[in-house]
Amino acid sequence: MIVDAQEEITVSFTLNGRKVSGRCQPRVHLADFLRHHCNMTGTHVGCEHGVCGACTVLVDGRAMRSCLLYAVQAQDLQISTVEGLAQGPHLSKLQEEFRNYFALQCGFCTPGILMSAVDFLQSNSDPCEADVRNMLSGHLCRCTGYDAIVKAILAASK
Amino acid sequence: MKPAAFAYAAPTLVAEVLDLLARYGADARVLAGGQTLGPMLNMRMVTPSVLIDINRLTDLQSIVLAGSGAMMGAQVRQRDALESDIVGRTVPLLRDVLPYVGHYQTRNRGTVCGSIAHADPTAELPLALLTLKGTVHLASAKRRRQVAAADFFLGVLTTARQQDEFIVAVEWPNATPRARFAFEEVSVAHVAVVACAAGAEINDAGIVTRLDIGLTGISDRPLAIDTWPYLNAKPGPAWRKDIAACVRSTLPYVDDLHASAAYRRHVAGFLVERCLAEVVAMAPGEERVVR
Amino acid sequence: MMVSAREDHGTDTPWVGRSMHRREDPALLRGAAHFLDDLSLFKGTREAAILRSPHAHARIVKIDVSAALELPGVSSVLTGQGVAGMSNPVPNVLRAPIPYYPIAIDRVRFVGEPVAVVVARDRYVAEDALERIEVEYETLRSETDPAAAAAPDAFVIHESLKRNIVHQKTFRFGDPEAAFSRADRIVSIEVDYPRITSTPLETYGVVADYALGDDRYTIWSNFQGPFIGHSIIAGALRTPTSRVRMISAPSSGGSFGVKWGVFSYAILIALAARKAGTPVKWIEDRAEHLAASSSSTSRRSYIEGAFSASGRLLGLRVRQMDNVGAYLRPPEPATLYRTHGNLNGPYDVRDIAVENSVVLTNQMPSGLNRGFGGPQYFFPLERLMNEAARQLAIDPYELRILNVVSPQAMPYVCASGAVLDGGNYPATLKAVAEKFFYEERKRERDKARSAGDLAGIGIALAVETSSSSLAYVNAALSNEERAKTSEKSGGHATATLSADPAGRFILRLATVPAGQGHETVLSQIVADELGIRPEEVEVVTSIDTNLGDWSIASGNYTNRFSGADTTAAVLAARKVAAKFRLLAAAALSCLPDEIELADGLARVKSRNIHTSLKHLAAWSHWNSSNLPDGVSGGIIETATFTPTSLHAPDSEGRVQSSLSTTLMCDMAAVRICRNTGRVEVTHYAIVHDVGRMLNPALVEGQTRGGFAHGLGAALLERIIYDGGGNLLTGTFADYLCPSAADIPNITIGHVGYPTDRNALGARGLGDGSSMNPPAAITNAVADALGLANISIPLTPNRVWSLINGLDPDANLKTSPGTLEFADEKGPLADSSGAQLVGEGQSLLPGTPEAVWKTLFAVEELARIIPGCRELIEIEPDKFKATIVVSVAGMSSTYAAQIELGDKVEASAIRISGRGEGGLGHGRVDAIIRLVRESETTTRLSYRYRAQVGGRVASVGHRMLDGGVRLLIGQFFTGLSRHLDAAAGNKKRGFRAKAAAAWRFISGRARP
Repeated sequence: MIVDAQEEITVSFTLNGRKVSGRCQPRVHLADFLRHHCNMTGTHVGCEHGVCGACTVLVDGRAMRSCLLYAVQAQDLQISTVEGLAQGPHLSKLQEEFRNYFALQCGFCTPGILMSAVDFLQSNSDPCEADVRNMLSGHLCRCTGYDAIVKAILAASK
Repeated sequence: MKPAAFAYAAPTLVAEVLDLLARYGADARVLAGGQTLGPMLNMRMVTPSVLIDINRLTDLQSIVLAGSGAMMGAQVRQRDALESDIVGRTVPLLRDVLPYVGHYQTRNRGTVCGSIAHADPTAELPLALLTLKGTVHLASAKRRRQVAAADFFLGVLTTARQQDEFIVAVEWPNATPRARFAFEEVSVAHVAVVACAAGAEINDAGIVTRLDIGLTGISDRPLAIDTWPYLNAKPGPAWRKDIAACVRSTLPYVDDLHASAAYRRHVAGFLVERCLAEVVAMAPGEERVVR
Repeated sequence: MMVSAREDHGTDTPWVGRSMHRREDPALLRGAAHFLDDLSLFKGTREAAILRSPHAHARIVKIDVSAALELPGVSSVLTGQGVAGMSNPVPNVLRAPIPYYPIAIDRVRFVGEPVAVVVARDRYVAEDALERIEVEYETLRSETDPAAAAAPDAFVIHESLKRNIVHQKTFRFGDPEAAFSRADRIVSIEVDYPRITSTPLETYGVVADYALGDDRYTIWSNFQGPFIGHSIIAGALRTPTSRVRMISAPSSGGSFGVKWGVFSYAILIALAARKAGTPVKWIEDRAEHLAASSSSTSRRSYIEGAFSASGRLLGLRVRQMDNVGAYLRPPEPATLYRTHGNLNGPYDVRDIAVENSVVLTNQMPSGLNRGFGGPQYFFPLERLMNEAARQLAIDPYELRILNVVSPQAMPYVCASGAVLDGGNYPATLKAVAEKFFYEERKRERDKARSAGDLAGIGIALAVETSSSSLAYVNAALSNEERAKTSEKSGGHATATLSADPAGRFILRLATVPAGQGHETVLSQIVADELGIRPEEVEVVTSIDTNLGDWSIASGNYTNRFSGADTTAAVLAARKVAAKFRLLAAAALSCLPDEIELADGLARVKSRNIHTSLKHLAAWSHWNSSNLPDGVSGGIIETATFTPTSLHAPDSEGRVQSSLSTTLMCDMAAVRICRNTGRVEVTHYAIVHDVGRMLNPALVEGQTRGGFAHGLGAALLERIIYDGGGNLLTGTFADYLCPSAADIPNITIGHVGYPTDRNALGARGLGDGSSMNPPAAITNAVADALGLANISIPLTPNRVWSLINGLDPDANLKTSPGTLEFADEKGPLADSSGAQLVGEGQSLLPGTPEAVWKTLFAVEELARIIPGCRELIEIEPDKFKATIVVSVAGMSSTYAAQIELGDKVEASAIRISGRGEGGLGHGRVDAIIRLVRESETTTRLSYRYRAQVGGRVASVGHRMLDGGVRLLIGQFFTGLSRHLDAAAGNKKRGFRAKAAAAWRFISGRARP
């Protein structure tokens, strides 16, 4: 039952609808596993202590910090990352509104915020600005000043 | 910031968790939501040789009405507690408190029991448990026991939980029909500085028959004041001021990076007065709007 | 003003001036853009982790890396000795004899300074290896507080210097003495501006490869420039510049100046790669970033203004001291001199005296940050104006109107050399007052005040100097010193525009954008010049030093993009347009100036004939032997914009180092809660004169982003070191950045007075929009509270303290209290500000003699001290111990030394200890007194001072106080139990009482 610290075990889960699999030690966090084992570098690492939100992904539909999850914990779960939002050449409505409102500059915090917004919009059909800002308090952005992000999310909720 | 290597187990039965704790005790940590343990692991502030992940258990996921209280299992996420009807009906204070716990994203994964076990000196859930006089249900391979909240929080990140135990549930006493609750927090950039929770019962004659007041963020753990001298009185402004003065003069206050002891002392009294004014203004059992 | 792409702003060009959607966005939105850590660059790349100093100041006695090298997966370890053998130190601008290496050589001088670099299979293993490196330090006294470091009796932190003040220079412009002597009123203010840092979300990253046979380095990084950094790096690596290839990552996650400091790690990781014999990648983590990347200077300023009774500013006297940290890392003292040319700010004042000094402290080295020196200068200036308005009983807005440079005076040559190149300052100020509804805000404020509320209004102005050359820092040198260096004035920019055989355009420009949307704007510019659509232009913004199209100022620096880079692009595009006209004229049998370019075509204006640019491009490639006379094959044109208005400092210290200037005006209204100290910004208006807006939506984005940075500095952010030099703001849980929930509503207006200093008339933007909020908000708070002595950040705790006449930083200071040994002799006497003090008592069973005997019997002590694995008496009253300290589940083994002294038998003793372990280090000094309480009990009272440092201090300090008290509790519980057993006393109740008694009477609890 116990995986030895130095042992690598196989981890497999569904990522953006497809099965992925890899091997890693138990201590490898999910953000690193996604980035370096699955080569899905859209999820970014900004702090590794759960404050900045850049690493946010969906786990069974809920937004969570992937730096605070170990890859082994994702076993058999449904993980969604930013790479799964667009449909082929078409950006999702949420991504389009981010573009329309200039809600990104360097783009490093953006994938995490998009994933949080997906979860939030699924559970809040008609949010007010205060609700959006409150949800965004779990994310740091140093480029935009947040206003455009708030407007984009509100636009996407309509 | 990568954690030190740890052995990992994800048992599916509670008995397996207890067995691992019995065997590895001091060298193990229980991983629930990971929102507070995760950063400590990543920063190598803690280096357990075994990490016991309880997220694959199935027995501890529920919120159940049991006897005089609502029992929340170890796996119950803060978000689920916030959205729970049972909680809304029987532990209305939590509806006020939970929106302040961490952020939307951390509540998706963080657990109620995990926050209790972690016992951060500024945390809201330990405050709520203490104020409501809840109970922590602990299990080890040797025994099960219950510890009252008043005896559970011992110091900074330190509780009565022994190394071979883990929290299987916390029990929140049901709010009585006449009970009213209030919660206020002062924070800076969402980092809690001082928070106050209060519950009161006021009879038809307008007399306070029950009063519970707790504070967190002021010292190394949540603290409650002895409210006995303030019962059987009418809850007017002078009464509130007296209680605020008592809070300021009898509790310990600390300095830390974010605020001075003097500030904490003042704000504690201020929040107590505000909470008391709110509970007085409410109708009994009034449904509160979550801020 | 919320700008969306669907709005047009009445622009007279098809593309420039429009809020075009960004072409950078689709890839970023999909997570498909490539930041440095997303790239797979070299096979066999290993990862590095850096061991960093836990001490603020110490001599490195010994480093033993053997255990680290034995760990499987570890390739090599590089230490300072290795670096010193392979590289040159980085010289500093002042030629002070304090070499700077990117790693400590024989001494560490700030917490977080690199000490060793491990290269291993991956970052996880590399960090494991760090823990196996044994470093023996001899701690030295540290000077963390700048004022203390500047004092005559300070401990000098560099042995080659006589004092920590490494620079002092005065300047005199005009006749300040005369101005002050004729003043009706002299207003003065003292300001301490804290260290802050812009914390881009993406941290530093370097991937380096060394080719042994070639003696050639290849370094990929997110270094932002300016690329004078390249010669610094090559010089350090002892390698010709042509053999150090630096390449910028395709995308950079924000910089704000902070990623200038990457140069330091580029050197270090390049050397690590050389030593390892493999390519090496290093991705900085957030804790490293907050401790040891780069942050702004802190500055103490004393500023005086000479005013006439009517409010005219007649003269300025400024004394300012910058704290640059432990080294004079280039480009310092640039922070201090960035605003040197424009000491008057936006005001018409010509008689100015300045005393500059720079002090070294045991803190991280300073560097570029958003605003770069602007916030530190304009904050005191605007606080002065605010205070003057109050003292002279003049409306603060009227005071500004009275003193700002008038439009008739433009271009205005400042007394200290800068040229304010245009704009209408009074009109801009009026515009912000209108946006702010100033009169209405004042009425609201006055009404709130009469109701007893705390309400205030503040104004702040600043001048942003853009497209700067690097010359200004040489104003710090004396004329003789400057004569020995080469003159510096350059700030040119180069762009290359080409058309491929299919008629597709490629613009190449050496810039390193980190989110500013350069590619989008450049495509708009080229499209306008050629009459094509932006989608037809590929834009390549990157720097590869192997391509020759960059120079010392290339990269991102002082908003040079909108002034210098865009002009180079315009010039290159015009060259290409001219070539198309030549070709079209030949094809259509007309003259070149009859040709107009529009819709992708070259048309003859008067006749209805045209040819396409695609066709012309194809011709130039395919049929290059048959081109008109003098026309070369292909289409590729390079243009360089060389500003000639930038000058090196003259003999008086005047310097014109910036191409254009931007006036920024902000106004803030605040309400303050008396009980919580919370400052609510109820209204905030911004009007910046950015000249011509190249893309209004991007302008708004920069303005809002800059505002957020400024708001953070005003209300939340501050880098804090304790008295022992430990960094207390080591994570985002303590260095607090604003989130969306913290940003108030702001209104933005624009006035646009185009500059004539570049091709498009755009003034700089982006760097400076962070400068005003700290001053505007502080002025509003000063107005609300009627106080002059206010420093940022205005956190609720600090504001409440100000309201109540308390020291706003009381929580950061620990007075040694009335300890009997609070004298010069104790081991902690040297270090300013012990962090933790405590006192307590315990009621113990037994007589004082019995307690005494137990306390100081070694075998007994070893059993009583919690976690003590070993206690050896090495001399009388001197012990060595190994102690496992376990608090709140955090456990670490410490090697400790304990000393007993000042013994009075059975009555008093002093215990001093120091320990070093994995999680940190600590020192404690305690006095214990024993007094007979009854026949069978003794009251033991103690007082202690402790200092804790290292990781546990920087990330866990909140729990230190409680943790220490817990440990003491464990000690006394153990002692009590032991004494009970010795006395044959099995009464459990007594023990429980003793433990409980001390628990409530302990520590710094102040009921």
